[in-house]
Amino acid sequence: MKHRDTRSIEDRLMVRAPDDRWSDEFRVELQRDRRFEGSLMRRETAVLAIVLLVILLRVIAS
Amino acid sequence: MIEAVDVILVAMVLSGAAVLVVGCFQFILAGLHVMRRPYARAMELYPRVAVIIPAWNEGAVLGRTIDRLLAMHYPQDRLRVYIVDDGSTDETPRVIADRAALSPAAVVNLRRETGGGGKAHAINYGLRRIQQDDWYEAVLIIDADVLVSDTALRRMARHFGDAQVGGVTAYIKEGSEPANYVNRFVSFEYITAQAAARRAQNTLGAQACLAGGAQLIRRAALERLGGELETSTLAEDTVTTFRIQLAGYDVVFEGNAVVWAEEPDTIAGLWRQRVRWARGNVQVTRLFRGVWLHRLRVGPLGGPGFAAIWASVIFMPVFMVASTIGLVVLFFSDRSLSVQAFQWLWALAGGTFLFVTLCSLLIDTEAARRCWREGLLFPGAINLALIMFGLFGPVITPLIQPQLAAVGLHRGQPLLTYVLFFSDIWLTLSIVCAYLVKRLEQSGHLRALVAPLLYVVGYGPLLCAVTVGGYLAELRGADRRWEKTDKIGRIGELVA
Repeated sequence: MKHRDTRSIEDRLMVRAPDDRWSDEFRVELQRDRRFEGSLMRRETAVLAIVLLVILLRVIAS
Repeated sequence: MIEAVDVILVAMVLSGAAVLVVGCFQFILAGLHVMRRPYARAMELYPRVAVIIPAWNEGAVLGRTIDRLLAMHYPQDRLRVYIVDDGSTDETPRVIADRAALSPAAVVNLRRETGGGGKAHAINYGLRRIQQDDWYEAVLIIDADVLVSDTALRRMARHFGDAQVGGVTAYIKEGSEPANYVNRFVSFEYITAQAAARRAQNTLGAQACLAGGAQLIRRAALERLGGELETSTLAEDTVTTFRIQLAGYDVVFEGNAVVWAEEPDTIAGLWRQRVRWARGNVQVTRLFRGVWLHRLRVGPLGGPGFAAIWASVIFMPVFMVASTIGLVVLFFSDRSLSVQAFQWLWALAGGTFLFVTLCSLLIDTEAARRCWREGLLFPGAINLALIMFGLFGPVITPLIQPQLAAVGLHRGQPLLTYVLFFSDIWLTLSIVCAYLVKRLEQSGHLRALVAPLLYVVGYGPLLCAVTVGGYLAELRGADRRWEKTDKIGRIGELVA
């Protein structure tokens, strides 16, 4: 007879126990992705500043 | 009364920039994505994943797709690939049999002798099979031509650390090598429509679509939907996404999980694919009519921000035609106001275009390196000239006026009036011209002219024309069969 896993889906998704340390590879990857998401904000702020400058110059010129 | 009419006409004119303004709104939201702390609940998880690949005559691409999946950085005992061979008549069965022989524990062949019923039906066949036991904890549905990057699945799976997340979608990039002009336009489009727009939707807390090419769904969420995808529309992925969210789960976009897809390299091929998408969007709009602007009842999916994004896609041609009507009526009723409204429209379009385009090029610099020209010419050369006029007109006009006067071109001259009228109607005319470029390509004549004409007319107007095509096909009640996009295995060695 087939064994039926009675744990909840959420429990079964947990390969590691909650208090386990994450692997170095995972932490480095997560850190890199967090940094990238943070950098998007800075990049867009720089672009926004350039666009606002162009618009300001246009208003002054007109 | 006359003033009220003028206000309405000017509003109609400015609606022509609505898509760009909403685009600008999306890019601002994408920049704020980090404020939502997208990885706050991420955990190192490796759920047992059943990969379902619907395949109908995909012999040219399927083998490499399976090889990439099995080479992913993911525990091999937690990954099974189920290929639903939907009655293929090419070499697909042999490709699957070869892979299954090499990796019998990881590759499962699900052959349907009477296939060809469509992608959603094939996926459902696979879903029914994997639900016969308790093995799988999440299902990854991908297209037969999609090549995953090494870390795509584990980057997607980490979001299941949040029990609220029911589905995760990856960042699909166009990977054809060599890439022709259509591929490069699609590359740029995917930066805006995926890398930026889907991050924006993460910020809003509502996703429009788990990309059909790569979607990871938690078992519990799939079971809440009855364990199957909806098959009555042409947008089964969008319907699934909406239903998961309406069932109380979150759907998130993981922009750092990259997969590569082979997109059409002809305008006609793109047209077929996009008309299907456009029709699907119309069907979804109708199917979920109770969702729009009902935030209190359905959550972020019913929020005004999400409705604005959805409307900018669905009603894009309506806005452009309304803008042209406003300009033409003003042209004949109040020429001076017409000129002013024209300048406001293109100044608005110029500012937003500059922001959206520069941000796109910075969001994915790798893709931008190969498609930056198409990014700049996305609206078409003529629209770009009008945008430049809108941005720099007040600076340029006093400089060129003496030169124009020297050759006898004064304000009010018939030639300048014609140019002004042409500029007024171009927004709508460009949609018609984009359609004619597609027809020219299909005719097989003057093939060398097709690419330059698309750069002049613009890829944006082509997408608008496709949306109109989708409306018309829906109105006609055209056949809803799933038209497969031909894939020949053109994805280059881009996979990281």
